[in-house]
Formats: sequence, structure tokens, C-alpha cells
Amino acid sequence: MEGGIIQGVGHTLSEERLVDPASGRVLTQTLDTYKVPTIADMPEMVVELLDIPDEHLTNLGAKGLGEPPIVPTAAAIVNAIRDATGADVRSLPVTREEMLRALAEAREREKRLATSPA
Amino acid sequence: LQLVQPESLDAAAAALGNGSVALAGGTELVPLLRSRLVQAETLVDVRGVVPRGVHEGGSRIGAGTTLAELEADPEIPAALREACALAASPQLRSMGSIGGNLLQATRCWYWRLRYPCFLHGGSTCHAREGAHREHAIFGNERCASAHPSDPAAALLALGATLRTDRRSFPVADLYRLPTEDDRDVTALDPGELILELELPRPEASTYVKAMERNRFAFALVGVAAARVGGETRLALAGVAPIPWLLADPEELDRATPLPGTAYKVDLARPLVRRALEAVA
Repeated sequence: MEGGIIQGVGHTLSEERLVDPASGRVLTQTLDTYKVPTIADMPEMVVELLDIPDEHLTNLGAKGLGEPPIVPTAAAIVNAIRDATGADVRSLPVTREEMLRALAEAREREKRLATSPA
Repeated sequence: LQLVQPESLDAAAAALGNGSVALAGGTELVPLLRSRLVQAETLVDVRGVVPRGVHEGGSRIGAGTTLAELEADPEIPAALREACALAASPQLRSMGSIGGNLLQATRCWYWRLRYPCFLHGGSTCHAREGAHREHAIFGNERCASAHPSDPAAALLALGATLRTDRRSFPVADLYRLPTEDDRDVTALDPGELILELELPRPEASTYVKAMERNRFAFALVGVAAARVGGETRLALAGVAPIPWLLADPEELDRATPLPGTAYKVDLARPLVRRALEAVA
């Protein structure tokens, strides 16, 4: 579970495969350019397992666990950004560039709302 | 590949040049050798001849001192301590020397992947037309690579002096933008060794850094500020092919970003403001 969440944080905030538009080569081939999160990037993780077997899925009732925590993590982080700042992030990963763009857009929207007639 | 371990400066000087390169911590050189960006027949281990350690209350630093030693030494000015602490990872900092750190090659992915770019002697900068979000906003007309060293920006703001086995000069003179005739970004002669750094005593100094990860990432923008003798100097990492001395905050208005690096100007403004407030 924790590993899955870390992967989700990675593709949401820092991991990006960049391709050279002219040659088609992948440019982010090393761990200094393809940025997997470090432990310093991770918040506290609280994992609660619900012990409900699914006998229709397998004869032991067991369910797969590796990938599901990756899926909702991006939505959770991006919604938290929206909640904290008003910024609508439109692409992943949320680089500093994308964050600055979304913040500027949010400021413009605020300004328009403040000046538009009620 | 041969390794020699000279016991005197003369022996080291004699061993350098002619297909041999100097090795200290190896954190920079070994990856460059592996990716064939540097080719050498002989490695000259200079750890036996280059001074290591901090002397005279932090005003003299051996070039062989590791980043880990500098970040932990309370006599070292804050800008340099913080720049070392924010660089790389603990493992790399405990091996890498400050002298080697100043001579780091760019992280430009085109240069690292050996595209025939301007820095490699070619005629074009592939980053200008291609992917360049981590690249330069100053001095980027011929080559848009970004200089990766955090400590270099700190030393530039502090106004450090370098002593080599041949001469002394300000750290600012170590760097120059690549030109048509010379694609090197440093001004050392072949085989010349950095031995020591001399630092003035600043009244206040700091280093702040924006990166895409909380630790272990090269600077998108790093800002060093130091007040020495009543005068405040600013220097930036990650914004030009060389560490960049910023004359004043307004110089950011005259930056020449590429479409994909314009955000770095916006990232730099509050960092510069914060750094100036910290040394005011």
C-alpha cells in the first residue's frame, strides 16, 4: 500500500518521461532527470486494511493490492491543491512551471469575479 | 584504465595531461567515464596532494574537503553550508569534494546523451528547439545548458578566491560562457589543480533553492546572497551555462528565457527577495 502511494505521489509531482521532439529519444533516462520521490517527499501514510474477502474473485477470497493505491493518489493531491490555493492543475506531473501557471490563472479568475456585477 | 596515486604535487602535475584526468571523490568523474563523456587512460588520484580541511576560522578551505564536512562546520559561512546541505544526497556529499563540485559538467540531457550540440563542438543547441524546462534564462544564446553547482553560486556571492597549483584568482574568473572558439565553461589550464579556497568573512549570507523534489535534485533556481563589508552580492545556480552573478534583482527583468524556462524567472523573483531579506 505504502509503495503504491509513493508511486502515485511520484507520477503526480515529479516523474515525467520527456521525449526529444526531433529525434524521438527519451531524454530522462537517469534518476537525476526522471525524479522518483525520495523519503523527504513523502507525507505520513496511514493505511487501514478492510478485511472483507471476495469469494467470487478467487477461491481464497484474496484481492490484488499493488496498483489500486496509485490510482486515486493524483486526484487526491490535485484536489488538495485546489482546496488550499484555488488553482486548477491541468497536467501531470505538477511541476513548478504548471503550478505557477495554475496559480496565475486562479488569480485572474478571482479578479474577474471580484469586478463582475453581482 | 590505470590508477596512479602521486605523493607530491610535482608528481601529480607530471602525471596529469596526456590522456589522464584528476580523480578526487569520483562522484562526477566516474559517471562521466561510464557514459564515455570523458575518456581517459589514466586516473590520477589527487587526494594525497590536494589539501583537505577547514582552517583559520573558516577562511581557508582545502579543495579536497567534502561537501559533508563543509555543511557540518559551524565556521563555514551559512550560504556555503546551506548550499552543500541542499546539494545531492548524503552519500554523494560524503564523497564529493568542493574542488570537484566547482568543475561539474552540466546536466543538460542533450549534452549527457551526446547529441552533437554546441557544447560538444557542434553548431546548434538542441535544447533551444527541444525539451528545455530545466535550462537557462541568462547567457543562453549559443548554449542553453544550466550550471548545476549549488556551492559555486554560494562561493560567487561570497566573493571567494581560488588558489591553484599555478595562480590565484576570483572564483568568478573560473567560469566563462562557451564561445565559437572555446566550448569549455571553465578557465583552468590543462592539468591545473584547484588546491584551496579563500573566503572573506561575511556579515550575513544564505542560500535558497527551488527544485522539483524536496531533496536530491538539481536546482531549478538556486539563489545565494552574501553581505560582505556592507556590500550585498547575489549569485544564481541553475539559470545559465555558468554560475550567474546577478547585478541586482532588476536584472531578472532583462533575462532571456526560452519558452519553456520563462517560469524560472517567476521562480527566481521571490527567492531573490527572500535571500535579500535574510541577509539584510
